[in-house]
Amino acid sequence: MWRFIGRRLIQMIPMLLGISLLSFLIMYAAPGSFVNALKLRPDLSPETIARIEAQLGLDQPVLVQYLRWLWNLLRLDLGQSFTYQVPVTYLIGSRAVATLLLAVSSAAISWLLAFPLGVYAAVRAHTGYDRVLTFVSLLGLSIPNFFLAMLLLFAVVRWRLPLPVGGMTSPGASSWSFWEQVLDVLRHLLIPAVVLGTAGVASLTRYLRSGLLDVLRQEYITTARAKGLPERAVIWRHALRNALNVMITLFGFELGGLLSGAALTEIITSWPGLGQLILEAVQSQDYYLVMGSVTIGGVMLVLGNLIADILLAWADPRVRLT
Amino acid sequence: MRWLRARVALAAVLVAALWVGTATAGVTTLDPEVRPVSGGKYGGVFRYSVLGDPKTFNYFLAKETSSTDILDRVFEGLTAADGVTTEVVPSLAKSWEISPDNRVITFHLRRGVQWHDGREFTADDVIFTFDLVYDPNIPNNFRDGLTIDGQPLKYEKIDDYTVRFTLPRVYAPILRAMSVPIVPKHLLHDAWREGRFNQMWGIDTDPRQIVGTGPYRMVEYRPGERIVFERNPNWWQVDQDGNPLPYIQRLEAYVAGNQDVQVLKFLNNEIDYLAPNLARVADLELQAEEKGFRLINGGPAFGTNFIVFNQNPNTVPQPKLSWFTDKAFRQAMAHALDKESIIDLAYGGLAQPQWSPIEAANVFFHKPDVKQYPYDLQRAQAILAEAGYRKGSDGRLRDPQGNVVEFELLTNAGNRARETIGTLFKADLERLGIRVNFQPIDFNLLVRKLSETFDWDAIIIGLTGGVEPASANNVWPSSGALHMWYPFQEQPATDWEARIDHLFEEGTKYLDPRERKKYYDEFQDIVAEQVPLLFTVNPEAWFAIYDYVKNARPTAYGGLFYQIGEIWLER
Repeated sequence: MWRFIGRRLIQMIPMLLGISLLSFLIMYAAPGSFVNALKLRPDLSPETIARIEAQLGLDQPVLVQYLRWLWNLLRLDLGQSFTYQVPVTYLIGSRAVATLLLAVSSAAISWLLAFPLGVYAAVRAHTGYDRVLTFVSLLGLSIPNFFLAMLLLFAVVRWRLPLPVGGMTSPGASSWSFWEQVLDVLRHLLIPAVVLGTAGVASLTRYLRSGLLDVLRQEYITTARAKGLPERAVIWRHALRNALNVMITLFGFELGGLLSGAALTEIITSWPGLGQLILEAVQSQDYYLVMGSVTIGGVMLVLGNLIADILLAWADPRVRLT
Repeated sequence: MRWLRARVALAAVLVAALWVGTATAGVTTLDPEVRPVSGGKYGGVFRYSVLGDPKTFNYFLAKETSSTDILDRVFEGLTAADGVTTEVVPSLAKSWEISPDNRVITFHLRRGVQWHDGREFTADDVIFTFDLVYDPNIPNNFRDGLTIDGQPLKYEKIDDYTVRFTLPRVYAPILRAMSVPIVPKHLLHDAWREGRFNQMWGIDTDPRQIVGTGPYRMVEYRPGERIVFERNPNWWQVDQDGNPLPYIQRLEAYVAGNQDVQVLKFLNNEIDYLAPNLARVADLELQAEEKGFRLINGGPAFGTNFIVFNQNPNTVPQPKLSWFTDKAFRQAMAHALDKESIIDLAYGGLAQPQWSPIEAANVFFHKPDVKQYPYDLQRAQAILAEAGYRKGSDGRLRDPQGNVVEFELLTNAGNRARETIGTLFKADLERLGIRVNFQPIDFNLLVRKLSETFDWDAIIIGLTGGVEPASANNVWPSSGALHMWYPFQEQPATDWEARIDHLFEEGTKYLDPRERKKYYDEFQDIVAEQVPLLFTVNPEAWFAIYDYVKNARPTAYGGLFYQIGEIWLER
């Protein structure tokens, strides 16, 4: 097992190199550069703009810029953001906690809802209940997140619900007691987590439903029923465990995506997360900030998959780690 | 003997009272500025919303309004601009003298002004700030406005409260350029000496360390959420009764993702003030009375949107070049632009047509009676016919050589107003027989075409505006980088462009604004006649503000914050 883990970690290196080089080249190839917005300012002369470009190293050939970044990365320095002129690690760090909070709570909502819904959908497959659930799932899947967020915020104002319109904390909250602060954050977390959670429920339910349906068709399930086991034990103790493979893999992806953020929802609900930060960075071609996020994302992805594979091996004795 | 002792005792008491009295007096500034306001209530929190986080707290590195809008509460310059009249007014400099040859300006600084950390503001800070402006390693926005014909100003400290500037030649815009924010030498000088200035005061700095002289200082910054300001108790502006301004104790600026969320926050009374998108003004008005706020029209705003035809002989092929360089063609196009419909469709009726290159909001320099081109397709047709353009039997317009008139109109995708303008213009030109391929494209792509490749036919774009006409000296002089229709000319390509070059040269040589106005008036007439840019409309600036905010008088030029010290809350 340790050799397996070790091998996976080593495989991470060429993968990260590939991802980072590709991201860098794509950003570089896109028209314009970070100083683009400055070119339309009547109060800035071309000389000043050229000086800014030189300071940011943007006048160097593309491979030189990439190698400089790589060299810094090897010394664990992710560079400085063009936009903010502060270290990338500071920027990502300042938003990491908020992002994790949102990701974990929305994942919790998705998964906690998906299990009972998915199981019921499989067990009551092809009945009216299943059809209603399918419809609701597809509805949840089709509504764009940012639209649902706007709708909920609008409802807050329209029906004067005791929820804030965006943000993560209330002003002056830093002087409140610990539990009051926790409650405050939870109140702010409700709408974005619900928006993201409901988006995830739909697909998770479908996966679980189809996985479980496959298992329920198997002969050993019939055997278990014939032996007189209560239906509840058949489903929850035997069938579900065998249907979990897909879910475990999905869980690995979920882990990998914890630090990606959800840009549009964050923007609407003013949740100070990484999604918003990185979206703006991509749009303004702030190379180092984007590369920093891409690198971290790549590492998380590999680790997430690794954990998923280990869990899979632990859960399913048929799977062998090679 | 007893009366002597009594007298001494009385004198001692008086002296003590005087001493205690002055020690507890609010104002320590020796040169306060008295503002035309009185009776305001102290205290309260004023809440508003901003669309993006500040990117830095170092004014010299700030490149966008999300940063400068925040820093403008904290820092001030030698001069400022009046939010109502747009004139240059004293700020940290209480007065100045200009030499008879107009080349030497001596500023007298306000005495007793305190930095937020209690140290006194002196001429050393001014000298230091200008050292930063001209430092080639600090790419800042101020240097270009403080450089005349490529030369910097000479500046010297005369004494602790006097600074003298010597200009290479007379240059009228210089007083307005003296609004460059003064930063504290005692906190930044060492870092600058060691070459670390560009790393100072990024957003990872404790906001309390950002020290300025302005009415507010930052006390809290939560990235992506809010910025909180506290009142500066030692500010140099006072009200009519000598009480120090500002009245309001705290400002809170919440970061919101987009304008719709801002409107929701306002309706929920989470913020007290909003500058709404014009499309929302009508339905805000419906709710105003019930919710207790009012909507104020601040008048036409600065900033322009226009259509420009490419006249660059190096990149535009014939026959397009001959159409776009033909004044009659451009004038006909001007008659085909339906500004009233643009006002109704893109701005909810809340805009005014623009004819002059200097906006109506620029009350002093704007010339209202320039040539206008009312929307009249028949007139457009007549002008085109006179110039030799004929509509064929297939309904398509052809130039005198028989080429079908057809071109590509671009703008940046996502800008609703510009997309509306393009759609309307295209439809009108169809009726003249001209086929227009209207294409919103990615902003970066557009900028590249405008600044590097110059391969475009017609573009709808805009520029920010300002009060000083010479600040657009990248745009109007023919050698400019933003002389959109044909930039970087070595020699002016036409007589009228040569004349504009001359007018812009001369326009800065007179300090008397009335003298200058003659040059800019002629400039506006030339541009209106030649229409290298077809201006569209100037939207109005509207503000929504709750009734408990007193003495709020927002304007298009100054917004609400030009008078942030003079408003108060009555709840």
